Amino acid sequence: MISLLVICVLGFLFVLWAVKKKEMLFKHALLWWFLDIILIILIFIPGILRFIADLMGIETISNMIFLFGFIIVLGIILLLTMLVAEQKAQITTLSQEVGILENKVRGLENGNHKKTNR
Amino acid sequence: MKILIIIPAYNESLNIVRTVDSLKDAKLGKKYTLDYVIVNDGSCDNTKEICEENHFNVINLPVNLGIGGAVQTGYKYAYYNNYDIAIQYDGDGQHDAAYIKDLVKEIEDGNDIAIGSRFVKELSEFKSTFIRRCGINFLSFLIKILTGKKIYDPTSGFRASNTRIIKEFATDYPTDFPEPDSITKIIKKGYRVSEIPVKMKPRLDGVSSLTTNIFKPAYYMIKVSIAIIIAGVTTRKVGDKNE
Repeated sequence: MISLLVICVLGFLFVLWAVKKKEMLFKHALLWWFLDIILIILIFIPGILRFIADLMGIETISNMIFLFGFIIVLGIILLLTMLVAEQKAQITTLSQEVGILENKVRGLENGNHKKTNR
Repeated sequence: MKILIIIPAYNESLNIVRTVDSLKDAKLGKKYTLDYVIVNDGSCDNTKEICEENHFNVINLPVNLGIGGAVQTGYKYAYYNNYDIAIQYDGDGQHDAAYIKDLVKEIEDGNDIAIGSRFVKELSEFKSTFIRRCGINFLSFLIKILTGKKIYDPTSGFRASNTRIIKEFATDYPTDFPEPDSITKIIKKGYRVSEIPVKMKPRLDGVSSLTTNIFKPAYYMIKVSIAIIIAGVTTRKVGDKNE
């Protein structure tokens, strides 16, 4: 129990450090902290797990923990892939606009004397 | 009438000069101005240097976006600079500029987009492998089922668009399999599509992106089919409420 608690506290502090160093967004830190706090509550009151397991008709607590852990991890990965898609779209737009601007700047610098029209 | 030729180029240092030179074969009348823009898609060869030495009108993308992102850059350029017609023209010298005037005529006749097709009628002398031909026929069949319109050469990258399509493409253009995917969307949205026969030349230098290994085409077919099905099922006519 002590070792689990230590891991949770270290996890909490690591996320805090990452936010401070701007290596994690605050909204994602909140998600991890939220998970961390749930884990800490469960460490102190393990009866909750037994109660939920009985409610769902799951025989062993460890199975239930694996099930939830799996669902949560899949959910987070899903969100991350969506985030990647969003960022790819942003990078694409940025690159295109940078390219077009650079073309325009070059045209202006050359004073348009080398007209590209054929 | 302002016409823009969009030339996407990724590592085309061996072909690009020839491609730009070939545009003089377009032979359009006095009332047209024919401009071109090369979209250098973050090439890692000296495409950029060659374009600059020759004072070509080139847009250098800072990173490699893939064919979809590169072609869309051209459409954005056309949109920002108020071109009346934009024509995609491959940087590897496969397309024949002599057909540009035919594509332009199709647009002037009221079509929104005109495709230069290798397989309309029996004109095609294009040396295509049997497998590739089967693949294209399958895509053609799939588009026919989804949209009700027969497109003989949905993978053709030789296409002319009017201002409405330029605007559409500048706003939204597929990344991975741009030709068949975008054509499905365009038909579904209710635009007028026409197809004219063109001859294409075999690639002269460099390697095509699709023939590097045998699994790529198979995987490509699966991916592109799924993309077409999604585009066909989810796209609504312009002006419909669900759009």
